[in-house]
Amino acid sequence: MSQSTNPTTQFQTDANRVTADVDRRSFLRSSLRGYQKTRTATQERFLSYESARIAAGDAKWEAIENLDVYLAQFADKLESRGATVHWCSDSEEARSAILEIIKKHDAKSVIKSKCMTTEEIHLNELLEKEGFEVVESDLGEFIVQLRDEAPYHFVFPAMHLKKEEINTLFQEKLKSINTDDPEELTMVAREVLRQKYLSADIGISGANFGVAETGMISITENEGNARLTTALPKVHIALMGIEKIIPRLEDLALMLPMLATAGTGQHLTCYNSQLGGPRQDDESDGPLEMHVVLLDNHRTRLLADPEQRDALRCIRCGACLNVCPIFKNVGGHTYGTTYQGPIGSVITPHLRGLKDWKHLSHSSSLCGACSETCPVKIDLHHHLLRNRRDAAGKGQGGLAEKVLMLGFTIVMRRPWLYRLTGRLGKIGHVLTKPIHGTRIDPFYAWKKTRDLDDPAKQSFKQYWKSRK
Amino acid sequence: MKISLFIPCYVDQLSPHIGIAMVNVLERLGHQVDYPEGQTCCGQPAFNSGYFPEAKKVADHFLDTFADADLVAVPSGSCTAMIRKFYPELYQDSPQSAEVSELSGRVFEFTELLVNQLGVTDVGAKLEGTATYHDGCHGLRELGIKDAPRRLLENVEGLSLVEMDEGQSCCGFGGTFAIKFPQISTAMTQVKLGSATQTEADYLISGDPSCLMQIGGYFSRQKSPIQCLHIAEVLDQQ
Amino acid sequence: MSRDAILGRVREALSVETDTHVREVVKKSPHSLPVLANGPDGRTQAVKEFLPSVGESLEEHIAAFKVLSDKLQTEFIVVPSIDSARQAIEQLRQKHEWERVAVHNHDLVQTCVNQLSVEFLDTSVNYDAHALEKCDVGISGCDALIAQTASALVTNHSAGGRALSVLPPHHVVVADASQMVTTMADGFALIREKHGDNWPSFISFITGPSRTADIERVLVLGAHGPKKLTIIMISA
Repeated sequence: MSQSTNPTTQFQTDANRVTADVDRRSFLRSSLRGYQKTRTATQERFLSYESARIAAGDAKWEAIENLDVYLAQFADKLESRGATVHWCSDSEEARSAILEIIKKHDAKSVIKSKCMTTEEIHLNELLEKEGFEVVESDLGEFIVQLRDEAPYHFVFPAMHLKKEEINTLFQEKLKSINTDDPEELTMVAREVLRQKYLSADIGISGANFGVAETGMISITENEGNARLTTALPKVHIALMGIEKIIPRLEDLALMLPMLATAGTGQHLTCYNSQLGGPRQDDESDGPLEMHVVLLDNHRTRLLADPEQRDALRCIRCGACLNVCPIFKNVGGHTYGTTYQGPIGSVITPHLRGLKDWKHLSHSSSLCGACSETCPVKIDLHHHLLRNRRDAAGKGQGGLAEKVLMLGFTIVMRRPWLYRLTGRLGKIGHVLTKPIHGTRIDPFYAWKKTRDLDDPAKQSFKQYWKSRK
Repeated sequence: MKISLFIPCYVDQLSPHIGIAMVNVLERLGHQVDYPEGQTCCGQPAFNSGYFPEAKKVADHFLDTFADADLVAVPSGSCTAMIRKFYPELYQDSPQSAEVSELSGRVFEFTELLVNQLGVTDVGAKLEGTATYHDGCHGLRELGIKDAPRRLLENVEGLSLVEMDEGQSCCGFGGTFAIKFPQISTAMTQVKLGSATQTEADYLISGDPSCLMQIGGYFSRQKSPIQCLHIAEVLDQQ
Repeated sequence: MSRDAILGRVREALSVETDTHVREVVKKSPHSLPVLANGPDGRTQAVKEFLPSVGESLEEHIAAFKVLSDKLQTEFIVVPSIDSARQAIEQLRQKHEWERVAVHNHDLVQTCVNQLSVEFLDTSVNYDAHALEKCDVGISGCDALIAQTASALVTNHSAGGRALSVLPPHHVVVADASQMVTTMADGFALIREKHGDNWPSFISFITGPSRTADIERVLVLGAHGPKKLTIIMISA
């Protein structure tokens, strides 16, 4: 990733590089094809997957449209159970809140279970700079952390890597045995991380849902690393975006199977745990303190958009990435965002500014595979269109594009001018023949990889006239 | 029945044979075909680029041109989606919104018009060979057109249909996307070529001329023997 | 206060109503949706009516639980009596050569393990996590078995705390057939009934042994948690 350049240039450059890597692209595609097969089989077991999507979407609408009430209820309940709730407006506040807790406990090492929100606030960089040992415990996250890379996909962080590459990495960083067997590699990580759980002072997790009614966070996982992270260290910190709320405990009975089905194709992931408070008086283990850090970080800006607050209903299952032809061909790192794929392209302009991130909304064929697959029915690809509208409305498309569109309107509203343009086009086509296919050909961007038919000798309009 | 044609701007200029094939098929079925000559474009290029007010001006012109049409037939799922699905959004809070939703109910993509409106599934066409069908995303996902083209093609004498792997994935066109991000757009078509080649089909057929421009342009550059045809051309084969 | 500031921003944001056009997207579906009750009942109803069906009777539930367990590689053993549960556990001890076994204060668990000749660790009271890590197995009870998902529903109370069921390499759950319920929603209802507003701080649905597919999508069991999960259900 080229961090120094502006996001649009970085995206184009990285897209050039990745699309040229046919081998990596087909590796990615075959991996996602496996996912799609499993997911389809799981969906087919539903009595009605479509209706379940509607019901799940509704549960999240209810939460988002009453977020003030449910957030307050969530926090009050959690506090009544002995947890501390920290309200943070932005990354900086969340980072200081977390750092303060860690310092207060004189901690040395921190174990983390998978949490994209910590990526969003760049927590690891801060903690490492402050001299703490920070270990990611999710296997995929552990791998990308060793490579000093961002997660490639917010559900499958290391999906871009081949087992041979992981072998090399483990030998180099962990002095591990030489093996490219996924099971043996997993066991290497298991042994390393076991000791970390037992010695860590602080466990940091995310939250997939926050249950307002009962004041609990719910964590979905397969590996058991989040369970260990929230069971063994004496302090548990959970970082959660304010949009993760759902109204009631029973909602989980619907949302958890939906998250698993859409996310990995499993009917339910291995562990789905609800945590409401630190260790209670009649309990024998668990952290002595639980801190829930609630993060706004411009989510309220998205909430204020009556069209696109819809996107706050996202449950981060990653399904839209898995079906997206753009993601499949440019990969996760090209986006340069915490949240990749269609959902990332929709929300990043709201969270980090339209001007710098509008290119993500243009980098889509608007095919709609994302909206079709979303388990809570977010209107994803139309939101991309709405971002384009907002960018154009603010004049961010540039003068040339504005003039082009003006010209388009003038021509298309006047049939005589349209006919004339068609004729001029034909003449132009003949006149520009010498430069066709060269870099100064106005159609070069197209013709570099694709042929283009010459304008027809007789347009349909002329054909129709001649018929009469 | 009188059927008015909307021939999208790029079909008019680059692929008029698609429009002509459509005229032939409809007339053969005994319908009166009309072509309002003032027509230009549905406005989608501006709309998809985010220029909604500009798109609306072009849409105004479309509405004027087709105000009196009973049924409008369009040889493109994409342009049909623009009119039927996105015009109502463009005119959401305008005084014309009733007129718009009424007109958009009369606009149909060619295959859905034949199958669902006119009740025709066999037009008596003949074409020897194997074909695979590419669903344009707008037709497929915005309008839900999936069965109609297949039912029509199944009844083409001599033609057998094979589905592509990942058949419902986008061909990579996407309007200005194809120009703004040519590398991604082309990579998508490269995948499509792989899937199409795997079927060993002689023809790749689609209901969307814009997809065909993309797919055909790439296939021919790659010297693929697969011939890309619009479904109207196939149905016009005798 | 940040709390007031954030809640204030949320309220201000919500003062503009959601665009109806976008709101309708959720509703628009070619499938007809049965009228759902408001509140928790509605979601519970959705879980029953839309998610996979597992029948009504205990026999059907057990059959469904078995099918999914096989897929998950959960060892699901149905035994006719407490005595045979005890035997099953003894056989597991021999097969896996258990020497150290973590248990907790739970009637069914205690009855099943009281004749095992192994070293026990009791996690119902303060215990040392390092000692638990050295155990070959953790044996626990549960609050319910969920037919629809083949899950064991546990809390700190029914499973000897948070760690017994996840730190040792093997987790054995002992349950009674009367604990079988249809859906996860039924499971929550049971816990609600048992604890009222005094919720346990930890609830978990355990669905198969720990797993990962983070390396080339190859399934590996025992990523961090147990490599084996055995559920012994007494059907009498």
